[in-house]
Amino acid sequence: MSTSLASGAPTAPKAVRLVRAADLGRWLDALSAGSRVWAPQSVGGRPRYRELTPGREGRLDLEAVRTVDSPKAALLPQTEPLLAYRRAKDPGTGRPSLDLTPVPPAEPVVLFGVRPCDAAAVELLDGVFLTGDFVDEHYKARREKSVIVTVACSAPDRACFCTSFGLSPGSTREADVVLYGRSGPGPKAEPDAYYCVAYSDRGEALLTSEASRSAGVVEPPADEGQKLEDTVAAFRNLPTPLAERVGRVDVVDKLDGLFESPYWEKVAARCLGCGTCTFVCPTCFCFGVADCAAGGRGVRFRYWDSCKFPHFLRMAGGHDPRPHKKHRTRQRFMHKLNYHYHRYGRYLCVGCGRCVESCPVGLHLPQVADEVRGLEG
Amino acid sequence: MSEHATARAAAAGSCSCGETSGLLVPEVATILDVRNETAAGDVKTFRVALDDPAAAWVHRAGQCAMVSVFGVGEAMISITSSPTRGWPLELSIKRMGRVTGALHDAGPGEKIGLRGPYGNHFPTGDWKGKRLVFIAGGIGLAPVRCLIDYCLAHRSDFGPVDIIYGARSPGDLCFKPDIFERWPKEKDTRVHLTVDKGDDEWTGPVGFVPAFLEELGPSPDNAVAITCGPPIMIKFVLQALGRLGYTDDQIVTTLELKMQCGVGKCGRCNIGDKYVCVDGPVFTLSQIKKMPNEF
Repeated sequence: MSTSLASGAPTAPKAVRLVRAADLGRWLDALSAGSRVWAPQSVGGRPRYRELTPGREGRLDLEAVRTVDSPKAALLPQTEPLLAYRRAKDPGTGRPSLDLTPVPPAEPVVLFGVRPCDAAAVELLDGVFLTGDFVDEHYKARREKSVIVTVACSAPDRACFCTSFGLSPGSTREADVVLYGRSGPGPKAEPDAYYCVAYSDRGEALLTSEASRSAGVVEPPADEGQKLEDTVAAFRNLPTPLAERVGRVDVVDKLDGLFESPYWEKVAARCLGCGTCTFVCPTCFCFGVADCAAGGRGVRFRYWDSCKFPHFLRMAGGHDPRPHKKHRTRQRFMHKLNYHYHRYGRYLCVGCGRCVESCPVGLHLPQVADEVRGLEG
Repeated sequence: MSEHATARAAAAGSCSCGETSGLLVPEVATILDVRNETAAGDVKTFRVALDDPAAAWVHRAGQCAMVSVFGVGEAMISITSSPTRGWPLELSIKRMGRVTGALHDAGPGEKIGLRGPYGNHFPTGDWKGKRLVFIAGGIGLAPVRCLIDYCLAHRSDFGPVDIIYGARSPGDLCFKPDIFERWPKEKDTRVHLTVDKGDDEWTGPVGFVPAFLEELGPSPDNAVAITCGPPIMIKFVLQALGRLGYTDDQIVTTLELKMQCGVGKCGRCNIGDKYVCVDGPVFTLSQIKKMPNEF
C-alpha cells in the first residue's frame, strides 16, 4: 500500500519502460513463473477477470472496457477458508476434543491489467480491512505482497463515471505500475505498445526485473519523454460519458436528511433483490461466516454476502430490522453514498459502471445519486 | 488503539504456533458447568474457560464474546460475569436459534470456540458518585448483571444502587441467588422485583417493568439509568424514564444486531454509520436518537 486514505495526487514515476503489445503474452508468462497472476481474459466471449492458468481457455483482453467480475476476488476471495476443525470423542473416556487448524491466507498475486477505477476500489477495501482497532490478517497478508498493474482506459463507455468521484481514466491511485497505450486514448485505440510507468518501489522492482527485461519490457526511446508526458495527461483528462450526465457526485449532506424519504419506496419497487450489483461491485465488501461440516470435521469459511438478500440481518428468533425490500435497497445506497463517507471519509463507489451494465432492471447508483439531489429533504 | 483491542491484540500475539492465525479464528474453550436459570429451562448459564490459559483476555463490563459451536455456527453473546471475577467467564444464553440451541444441548466438558472481548463497555468512569438505577427484563439482566457486580465490587465509587427487575413469571426470573440473596445484602443496595403474572407462592409485586419503574419513581437527581431487556420493554421504560425527568444523557442501554465478524469488517450490524459490534453495544439514549430508526 503506497498511499494513505488521503492520497490522490499522482506520485512521481520511479521507472519508465515500454512494452510492445505483441510482447504482453511473453511478459505475462515471465511474471507467471514467479507469482500467481490475474488478468482480464476473454472467456466464452465475455471479458472476465481471472487467474491466468497456462493452457486454460481464456485469451488476454487488455482493452475490454470492463470485465464482468471485478478484480476484488484476487484480494478478497468469494469464498475463503479460515480454519479447519475436527471434533471427536475419546473412545475410552468419552471426553470431547476440538482441534482448530488455521488455514494460511491465499498467496499474494500480481493483479495485471486492472482498470484505474478497480485499483482505486482497492484503496477502499484497504480502509475497511487494514484500519481501525482490528486488522484483517488474511486480507493483509495478500494485499501487502500483491502488485497492481493498471491499464489506463482508452475508451470509457456509456456506463463509465469514475470522474464523478474525482478519479480519471488515467488514475494512478493504488497502482504500482500503470500501462498507458502509446498511441493515446481514442475510441478505436489498439495500441501497438504501452508505456509502463512505476509509481511505487514494488512497481519499480517488477518493471526492472530480469524477468520483465528479458520478456521485452525495455527502456523507451530517449526522445519520447515529451510524448509520454502528453500521453499520460491525455488519459488523465479524458472525460467519462456517464459522468458527463451525472456530474460530480457529492450527496453525503443531502442524504443525511433523506432516510425517511418516500423516494426509497419508489426505488425499491423496481429492485428485484437479486444482489447482482453487490457481487459485481469492486467495493462491496460485506461477508458472512459459515461452517461447511461433514461429520466431525469441517471448514469455517467466509463468503461474499449481500445486503440485498432477505436473510442478511434476520436474527435468531425472527427479529429483522430490514424486513422489506425498501429497507434493503435504502441500505445499499445509503451505505455507499452516506454511511461509508461518515465512517471513512470516502464514498464507497469508484464509478466502474458494473451496476449500470448488470442490473436487470436498470436501477443503478449513478442514477440514484443524480435523483436524490432533486429530492425534498 | 483502544484498550480492549490492545488486550485482544496481546492475546492474539501469545498464539503458540508463532504465526498470526487470523482475526476470525477463535480459541478452544471448555464448558465447565451449566446452570439452569429458569423453570422452563430456556435460559442457561455456561461457565467456560480457555484451554490455553495464556490466551485469556480481560473484558470490561458490557463487552461481548463470539461463541462457536463448530459445524453449527457462531453467535455474539454478552459476558454475564464481572471482569472483577476473572476467568472462568459466565455466559447466560437463551435458547433462540441454531447456535444457542446447540449450546443448550451441550453439557459440561463440551468444546466450543471463543473469541473476544468485543465492543465498547459501560462508561463507569463517568458515573463516580452517582446513584445507579438498573432496569432489566428477562434475559436482559445478563449483560447488566456483569455491570452490577462490577459496580458492587467498586462499591465506594458509586452512590445508592436500585435494581429493578422483572420477568414473565416467578419461574422466569434469572440469577435467583443474586436477586434474592446476594445483592439485597450489599450496602445501600435495593432489589425491586416484579412479574407479569404471579403464581401460588409469589407474594411480591405483579405488573410490567415500565409501570413498576414509574411507581417506584427513582429520582433522576445525580442518577444514571441503565436498561436492558426485550425491545418492547425498553421502549416503554424509556418513556417512563422521560416522565420521571431523566435526560437522554442519563439513560444507557445496549443494542443487539446480527453479527458475523464482531470486529467492524463484515458490514452486517450497522445502524446508519455506526457498527454495533465496535461502536456499541452500549449507547446512551442521546446517541440512539441520532441514529436512523432501523434496529
